[in-house]
Amino acid sequence: MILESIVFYSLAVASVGSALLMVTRRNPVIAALYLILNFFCLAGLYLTLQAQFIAVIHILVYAGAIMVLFLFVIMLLNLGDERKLSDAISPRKIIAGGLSLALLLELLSIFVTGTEGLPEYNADQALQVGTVEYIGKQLFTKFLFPFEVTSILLLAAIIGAILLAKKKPD
Amino acid sequence: MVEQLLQSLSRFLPETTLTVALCSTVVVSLFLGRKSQATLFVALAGLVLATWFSFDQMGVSETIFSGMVAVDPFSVFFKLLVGLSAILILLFSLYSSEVQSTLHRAGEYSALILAMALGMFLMAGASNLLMMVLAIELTSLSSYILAGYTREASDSSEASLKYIIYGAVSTGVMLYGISILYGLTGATDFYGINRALTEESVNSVALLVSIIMILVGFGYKISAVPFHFWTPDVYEGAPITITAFLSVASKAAGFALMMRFFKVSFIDANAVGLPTGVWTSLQGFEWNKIVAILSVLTMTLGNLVAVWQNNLKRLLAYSSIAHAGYMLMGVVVLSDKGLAAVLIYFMVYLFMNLGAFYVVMLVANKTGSEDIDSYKGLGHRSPLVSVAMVIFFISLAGLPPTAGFIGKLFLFAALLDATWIWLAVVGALNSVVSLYYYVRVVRNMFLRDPEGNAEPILFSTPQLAIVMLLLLPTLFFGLFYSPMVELANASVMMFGIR
Amino acid sequence: MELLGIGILTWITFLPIIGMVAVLIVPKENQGAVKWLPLVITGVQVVLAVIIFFNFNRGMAGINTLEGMQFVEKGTWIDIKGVPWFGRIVVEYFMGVDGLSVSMVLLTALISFIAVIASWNIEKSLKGYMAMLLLLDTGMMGVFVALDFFLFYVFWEVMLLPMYFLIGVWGGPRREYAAIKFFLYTLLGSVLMLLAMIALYFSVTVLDPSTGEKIYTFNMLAMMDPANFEPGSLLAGVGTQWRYIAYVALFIGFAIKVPIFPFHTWLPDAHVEAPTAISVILAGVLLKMGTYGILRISYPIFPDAANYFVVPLAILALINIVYGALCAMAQTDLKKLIAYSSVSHMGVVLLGMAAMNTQGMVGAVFQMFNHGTITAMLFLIVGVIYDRAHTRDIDSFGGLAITMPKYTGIMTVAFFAALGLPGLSGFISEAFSFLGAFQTHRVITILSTAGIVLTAAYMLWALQRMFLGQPNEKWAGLPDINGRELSALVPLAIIVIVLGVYPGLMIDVLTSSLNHLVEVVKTGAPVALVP
Repeated sequence: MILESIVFYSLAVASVGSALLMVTRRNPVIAALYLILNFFCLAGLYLTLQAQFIAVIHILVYAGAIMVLFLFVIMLLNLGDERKLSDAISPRKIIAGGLSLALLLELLSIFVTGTEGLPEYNADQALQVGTVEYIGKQLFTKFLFPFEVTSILLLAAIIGAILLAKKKPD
Repeated sequence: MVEQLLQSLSRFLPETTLTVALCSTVVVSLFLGRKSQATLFVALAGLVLATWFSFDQMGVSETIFSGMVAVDPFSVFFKLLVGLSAILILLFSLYSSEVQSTLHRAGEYSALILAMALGMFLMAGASNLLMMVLAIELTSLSSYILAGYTREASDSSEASLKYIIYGAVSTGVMLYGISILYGLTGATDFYGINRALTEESVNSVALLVSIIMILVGFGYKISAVPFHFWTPDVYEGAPITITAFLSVASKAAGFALMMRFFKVSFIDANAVGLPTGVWTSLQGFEWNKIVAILSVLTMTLGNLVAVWQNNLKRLLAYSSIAHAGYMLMGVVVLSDKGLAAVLIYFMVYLFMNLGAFYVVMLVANKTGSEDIDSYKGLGHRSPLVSVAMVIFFISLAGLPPTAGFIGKLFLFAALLDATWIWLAVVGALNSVVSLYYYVRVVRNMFLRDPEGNAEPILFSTPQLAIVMLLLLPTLFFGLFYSPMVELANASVMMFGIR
Repeated sequence: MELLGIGILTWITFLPIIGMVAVLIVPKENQGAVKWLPLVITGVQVVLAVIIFFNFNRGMAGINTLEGMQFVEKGTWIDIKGVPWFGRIVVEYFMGVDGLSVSMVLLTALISFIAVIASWNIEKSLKGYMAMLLLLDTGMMGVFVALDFFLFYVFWEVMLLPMYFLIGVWGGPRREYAAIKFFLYTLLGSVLMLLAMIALYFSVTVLDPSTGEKIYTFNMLAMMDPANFEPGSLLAGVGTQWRYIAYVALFIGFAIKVPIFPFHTWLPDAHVEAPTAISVILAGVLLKMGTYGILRISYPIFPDAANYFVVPLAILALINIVYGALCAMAQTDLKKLIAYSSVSHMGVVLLGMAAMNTQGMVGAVFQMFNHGTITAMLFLIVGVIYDRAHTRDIDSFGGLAITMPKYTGIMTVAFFAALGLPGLSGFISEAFSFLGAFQTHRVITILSTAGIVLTAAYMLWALQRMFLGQPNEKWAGLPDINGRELSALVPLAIIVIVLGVYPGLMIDVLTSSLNHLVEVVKTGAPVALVP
């Protein structure tokens, strides 16, 4: 139990820290690398929740494929250090900050007070849920339909991409 | 499992048809491709079939694919509505210069309209949070691209980008809300949520936060204030056919999903069967108060800003925001009467709003302008179309003897019956404001003389036939509205609720 | 009474619609047909109205009893078989007349006919003009014969759009402003009326004779019976807060039409900018709809509220009379002067209504009819001089009696009728109204009589400035009134004189109905509230 707590807190601190570092970096490449670190930490958190499949997929898809794409784009565009867009504190920023703060407080209050009444799941079930086998079974039985709809969604996206790509040279 | 899937598939015929049509358009455009209207006709055929199959499903009430999608009178109603408006939009497209001048992309155009219609069909029936998000995404993704379809101009691209960013943010917020709701109830399907909420009480703050977040997603889809910022720009930048489609079908699908989500998940399923048709919220959770505020904001802002618009597409965009506000009033009252009123309003709105957009399109085809000033003296240049436009506008403003009046009448009736009197008064005053900007256009058409070119504008017979197709129901249902009300009354039934 | 199996009220109401379709079909080049067709249609309408008027049984009261209504037509218009939670929705096609409405039906037919004659010189898109005029005619007639609230409301709103176009397209220089102002004001009133109507709908039930089930209804007569109000519904009971609110909402809807101060500001604009024929219709018929609505709907359905608000109504009447007269006095534009005189004269109607006794009510309705005919004459007269001189500035004329003797003669009749000279119809109705009101609101009535003095003052003053004194050289060559114009004015002048000499012709028709109305209003209120 203690070991689990140690792992959880160290991963949590690392993920929040890397997220903060990512946002504050001026150099986009370094920022992207911090994002990858953040993804790894999150994957670790998934592992502590017994969700092996999601952890692996998270690393493969996000840290692997998408981040590589990101880095490519950044390098191809040859972005330099980001200039500060604006320093002034506008009313809009204050309102946005206030709303974010309110949301944070609300969420905190939920996490602090609202844990009772939540459905309980025992670890055995969780262990089972996290496996590839279980997910595969669910995906092709109960969730077959959404899975298929996703394919149509992707088809529409491909058609759209073609349309966008064809648009320029007219 | 397999039998169950096959059984489900037989109830999934309209959507299957749309999917087949979607694939066919891709193939057809590959072979017949360039400079051909063939794909438009393929899409049209697919939609007519799908609408027909939906019509066939009337009276069915069950869920398919393990409770993912409900096939019930309520979803069939919205499928018919979406199907009908998509058919009309494709008919418009045959005469739209924007579409006809870019025929080499007609394949993608038709395919995306079909994809959008499919997404809306799914939205009409989705009864699972997962399906809800997927359906919204399918619809949105197609509409993002169609919004930036024709014009190379920056306004179109700007509109499209604005649309995507707002869409992404609101979907993100909605997903966050959904995850909280799942955490609270442990269920993703609406019925499971309802069961969980009936059985044990949950943290009310958490529930409130999750609902507000989910409302952001719905609000974006139906363009309710304050999630409406994308609407005017997208409506102005998109081709008129797509604007018309977004303003009617997309809104209808958004309302369908929202009403199903709220009614199935948060209404006491045991109490709703009462003959009065009045709903009781579970756990005393008054989410309708939030919707009431949204409704007042939406209609007031929509109407007030519309007064200042000089571009007719923008004007109609704000007017459609205002109409979303009116229809939200029907959701507020928490009764089957309110729900039926919204359905009636949508039927009416389909004809009058599409009619108004169609006239705008016809005029823009000839004059190349959507500006209010270009309508000066139109009454003398093209009397028939102008008179039709007046009737559509009068209907939008809600004056008898047009169908728009019946829509408003039933909304106000539902409100007064539930003694939401202040909201009814706000709605009534809003309809007075709305008259002002509709009449501004009427004024330009009939009270002003044409500027410059005063040549008569002539339209072909099929073009005028489509005007009549939309005009006659607008007048007929204003005087004899029994069929409309009977259909709405029969269509409020959702699976598992009564 | 039926023609071809269709009731006479349906004929008289929808005849103009048939005319409208016919006018639209006639080719544009055939100007003669476009003019004569509406004239024939409205002429037939007048004949029908006269038939109704003289076949009307004067002993029957009507108001809140179906038996007392005459020429009744009752059929089902909308019947939506209910689901349990909505109930059955029934809207009736229900028309009928009693003493209150039969006078208005006659007035409407007459004024529409006169309006077509007065429109003879319209040149700009004549077809559209006549079509709109006929549509307006249907709306007006429908309002006066409808006994189902829903039907009434539909007719009420049908008038708005044609009126907007008639003022906006064929009006004077500030026509756009006047037209939209009229449109928005009236719509504001009617949405409040709509809400009150829906609230009434959900409060009143009747038993369906065939099935025995309770159904909600828009039937006005059912709404007048307190026993039909569902216990616990919004408007049930006597003297409740919601009944007062609903009464006020209805009242605002009607007050804007009358127009009652402070809702009157659309009227001078609309009257001045509208073409002559439309001013005639506006003043002759449309203003009466407001007072008719109060008498037909507000009073018998909300007798408690009517009694409760009777003193405010009398005060508003006083304001209308005196304020309207003062405003009229300050005008130099003849048409504006007459417009404000309408505000003043409608105040007399209100005062008669506020009297809550038969004398006052008969005076009020009779004044409605008389004001309709007299003001129609006045606006026609303004039209005649404006067509010739292209100005309506009172001070620019002078000595017209020498150049236009016939015109002066007929104008004198109209002006004297308007200021209430004995022997002309206006005197009788004003006298009845004031006498009736004197019994209930002594002080207010005495103050109101100041209005009569003011009316006499501005009318005579205008007459003097225009027709007497030194002839203005500029207008020496003005031709006198022509035959067409006389044909519009003379019938009205005859009516004014005949009713002035023999008012019984109209009063006999009104008395039993209004007597009954007074009873309904008195008995429907708690004793303490009856003054």
